[in-house]
Amino acid sequence: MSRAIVVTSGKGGVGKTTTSANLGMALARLGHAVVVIDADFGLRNLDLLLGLENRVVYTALDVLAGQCRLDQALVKDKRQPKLALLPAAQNRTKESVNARQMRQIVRALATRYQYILIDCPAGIEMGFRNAIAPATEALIVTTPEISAVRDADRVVGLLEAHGIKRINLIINRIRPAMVKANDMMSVEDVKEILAVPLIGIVPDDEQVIVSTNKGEPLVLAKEESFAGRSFDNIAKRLEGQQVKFLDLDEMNPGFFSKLRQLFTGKK
Amino acid sequence: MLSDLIDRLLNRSSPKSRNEVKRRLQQLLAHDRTTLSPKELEAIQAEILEVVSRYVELDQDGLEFALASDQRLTSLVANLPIRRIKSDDKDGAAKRVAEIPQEDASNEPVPDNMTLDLDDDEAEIFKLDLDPELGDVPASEDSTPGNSSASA
Ligand SMILES: Nc1ncnc2c1ncn2[C@@H]1O[C@H](COP(=O)(O)OP(=O)(O)O)[C@@H](O)[C@H]1O
Ligand SMILES: [Mg+2]
Repeated sequence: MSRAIVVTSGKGGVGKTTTSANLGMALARLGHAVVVIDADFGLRNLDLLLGLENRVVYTALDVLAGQCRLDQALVKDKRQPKLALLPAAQNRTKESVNARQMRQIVRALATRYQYILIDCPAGIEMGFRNAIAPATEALIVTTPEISAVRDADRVVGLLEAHGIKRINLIINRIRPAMVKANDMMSVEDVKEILAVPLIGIVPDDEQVIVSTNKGEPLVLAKEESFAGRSFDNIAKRLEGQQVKFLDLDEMNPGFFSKLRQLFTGKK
Repeated sequence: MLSDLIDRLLNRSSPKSRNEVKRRLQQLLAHDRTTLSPKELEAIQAEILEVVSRYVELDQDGLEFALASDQRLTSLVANLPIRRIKSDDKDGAAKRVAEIPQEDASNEPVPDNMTLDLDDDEAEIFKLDLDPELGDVPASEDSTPGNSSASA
């Protein structure tokens, strides 16, 4: 059976697209047929994070307009043949699609893909409603900051009202040293406040930016990163595996890098 | 550990900002999660006070109404400290007092100086569960998560 999972947050810039790209790749590496849909019409960037921007020919809008077939619009990843991307149009607005069309697309994809990840735009307007319309599950991405958590809470309410019951939480950009210093909400704090089951913790990690620069998801990188491991673990938990959460204490930068920070003022 | 010590030395900001943000969020979300308007909340409070005041004299300064949220369930918590049980003189009130079911022995005049100051937990008289899902209409086109509706 196919699972249509929307990756959403309310607030922008908290890591929805990063999560969609990495989780898509991680699930494909586990052997599932995966398609990631960029539902951020007008501001597409899932293709960039996957390094597939040069291979985009058609978009979801061309499919809906009857200008190409669905399979022509899908960009297959050469590094990982189990992964495909359905790009959004860059030169159109969020109003150019509606919920019924999104459901049509997902229904068609469900015949061939086990996991359909929908990268949701920020906000709770039209673009959000289009993105959640075909979803039967949701991943809420938040950072441990007041505005992000508040928006996440609002979105959880909207998803529940929309009948989406399977909702899991990803807390992104945790900074263990700050939590330790009592200057950032901990994973437990956020989990308790939102009261949504936790499926992943992703530390704030420079490697995320490096991976974005290269257009190569972290989970493909030769050098293992904490964030990459976190996304791999989330993929396994989505599959139903029991995987222990990473120990945040281990992720603290070591003593020497702290000393360096102290003397150079650099992070 | 040495690194902890350096951590503390380097830590210039207030050590409690984590607790503060938690407290602010919990309050914020209690309001966000109810779909009651501030007006409705006010009306509920006024009516509760009216009913309770028929029977007891409340300590006006100690009144507290708050929305609390736990496990996505919002409660209206009212703390109504009782100054004294109303005695029989005033007509309307007296009649109603007589209607209170027995065990409170309202026939016996309550000494005027007696105060019934319940402590916090006991004074939590009303706990009204609001279903957060009720009437949660999809937001209108122009609303953003930042400026949501119900805040009192
Ligand atoms: N765990 C992380 N560590 C460091 N940077 C991150 C992390 N997650 C996201 N970012 C950065 O935050 C920015 C926003 O991420 P993005 O995935 O585009 O958010 P959204 O899709 O929610 O708007 C990007 O620059 C990204 O590199
Ligand atoms: Mg995005």
